[in-house]
Amino acid sequence: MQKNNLGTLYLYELKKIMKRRLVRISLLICMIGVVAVACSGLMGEYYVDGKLQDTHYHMFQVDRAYREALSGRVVDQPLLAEMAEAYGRIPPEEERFTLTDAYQTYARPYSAIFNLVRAWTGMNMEEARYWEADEQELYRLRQAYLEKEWQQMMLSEPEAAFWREKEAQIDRPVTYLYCEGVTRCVLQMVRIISSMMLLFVAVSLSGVFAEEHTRRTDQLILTGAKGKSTVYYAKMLAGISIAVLSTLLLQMIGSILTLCLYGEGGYEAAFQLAYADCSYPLTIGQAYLIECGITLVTAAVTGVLVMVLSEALHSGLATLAVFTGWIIAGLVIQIPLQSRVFSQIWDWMPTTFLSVWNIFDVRTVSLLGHRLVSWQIVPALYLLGGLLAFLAGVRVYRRYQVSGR
Amino acid sequence: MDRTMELIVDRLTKQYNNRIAVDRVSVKLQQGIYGLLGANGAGKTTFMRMLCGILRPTGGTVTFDGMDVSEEAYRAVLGYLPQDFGYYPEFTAMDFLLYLAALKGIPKRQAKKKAEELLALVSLQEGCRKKIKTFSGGMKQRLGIAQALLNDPKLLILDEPTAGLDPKERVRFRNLIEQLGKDRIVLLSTHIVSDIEHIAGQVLMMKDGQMIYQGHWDEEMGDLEEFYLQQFAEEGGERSAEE
Repeated sequence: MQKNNLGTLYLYELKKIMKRRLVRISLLICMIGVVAVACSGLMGEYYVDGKLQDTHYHMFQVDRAYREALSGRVVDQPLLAEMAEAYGRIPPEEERFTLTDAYQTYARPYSAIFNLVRAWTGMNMEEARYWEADEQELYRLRQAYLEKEWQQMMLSEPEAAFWREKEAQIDRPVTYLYCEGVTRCVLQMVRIISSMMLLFVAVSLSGVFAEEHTRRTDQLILTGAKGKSTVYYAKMLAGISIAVLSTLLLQMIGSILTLCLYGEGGYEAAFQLAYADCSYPLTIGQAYLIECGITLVTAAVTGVLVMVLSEALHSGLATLAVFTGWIIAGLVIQIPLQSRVFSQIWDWMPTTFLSVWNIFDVRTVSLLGHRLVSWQIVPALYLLGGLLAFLAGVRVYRRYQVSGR
Repeated sequence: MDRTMELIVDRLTKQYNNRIAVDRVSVKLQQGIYGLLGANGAGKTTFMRMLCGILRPTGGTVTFDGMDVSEEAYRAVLGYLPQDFGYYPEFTAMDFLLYLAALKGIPKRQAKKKAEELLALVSLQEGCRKKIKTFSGGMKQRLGIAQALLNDPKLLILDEPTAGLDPKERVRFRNLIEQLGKDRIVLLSTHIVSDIEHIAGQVLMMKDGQMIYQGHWDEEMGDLEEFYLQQFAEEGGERSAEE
């Protein structure tokens, strides 16, 4: 009786993938890319009319100190009034008001609240500067802004009602917390890591099955007792592990570095401090965990798709070409919001989905009487799609015949 | 070893569109060495691939002691060295054998022992920690033979096993096959008639997908090479088309 040997085969499949120089180099490039993006916000200098004003690093340090001073304060009438009073000191005729001493001395310490008011209400710079601070008005304007957004997103009335209910569940008045590090993770890092992940998965896994055919080792594998069953599972498990572990590695590097550079903490702040357009009552920490979880699920499912495609096409290069084309299409093609269904499906594709605006999209799906948001339904659909692809792959793999050489 | 082992090939056929690569071949093989001769394009490799279960026949059956070729149990008693033998260049010889042993369902500890034995058998024990990409053609071929023997196969199928070997290695290899044929079915294909003359108890000859000769051959029956050439004289020797 033969032993199943799944564990041993799994380790050898991992070894086969990681022995490829291209895989190791790609992973290194992805890691460097993540580090570069994390650091990029602090690099460089700020010039006005060709004259050096400050370094980005120093500007960040100043802003961080002001924001930390505000951390823990409730965004209520007294704080809004302080902000309005500080911004009122800027001479009205100044166009480039951030260069004035009044801004630097009085207004800049409140810039975080000023930016929050703008993000929540959709006011432009001028409107926000001359806004007469009113806590009730802030929430009324936010509601009006959201209603307008929902209309542009072609939401149905039940969807809008769903979001009104969610918006009402957010604690008011909101408490401001310093959360620059985790905010950057939520807004920026997920996009960078997902792009790196998609490319790395395509490069590293496109050869898992295809190379057995080009190397002609397929004959040895398929004549082994476990060659038509266990090997498929071992290869799939190894590919999924590489996709998930490499994504986890990039997430850890990106998150730790971002939190170290921009400051950790603020995880319990309302998600709306980082991303105003979503009304779901979440903390920023929860939102980032959701993003990380979805990225890992996407990595696993993308890995399955790439490997099945590589078995179907029998060519690593063709698989890479198809997949890269899909990634590029995801970057350049945008379907108008008016084509609600197509636009929503396109935005749910693994190559487009991983961004804060798609993960926390306000377009929902009604299923068996429940209204599900993107971050709830899409991972479930991915897992289902991945399972179907996995099963289709078993069929393709077992039906393969060695001929015509 | 089972003395009654029997490979039964019944009306085995492979057709590609309007070309018949293997045409209703029926043979019964029992313990011993069988030499499969045929020109390029005669259908030898197609026939062997069907015996190994990696090419589905258009018609006919292949069974070994009652096990169908599609069963895992059949593959468990099969050893195969393909004509175009592939390998993993970054693997060492030992890793390669351990990986293939795992594929054949051999437990890890047993696999290590068996791999060491086989590397010694094919005189590769010194290079067992070297990457395969550094091996010469002959060393790779010997490694291929070692992998085919990992599971002590009852049915050993060798497609052009002496290709790429120098004369000295060929002689050594022939001796090895002779030993192996004592307790299993060995089917080897080759262009080199002398390889078969020396070791094969039975000769199978294919032409245009059909088995045109099968039976015992000994010196009293004359020169095998002459007989072989006579069979292909009508077509003016070997065809150049690929199988």
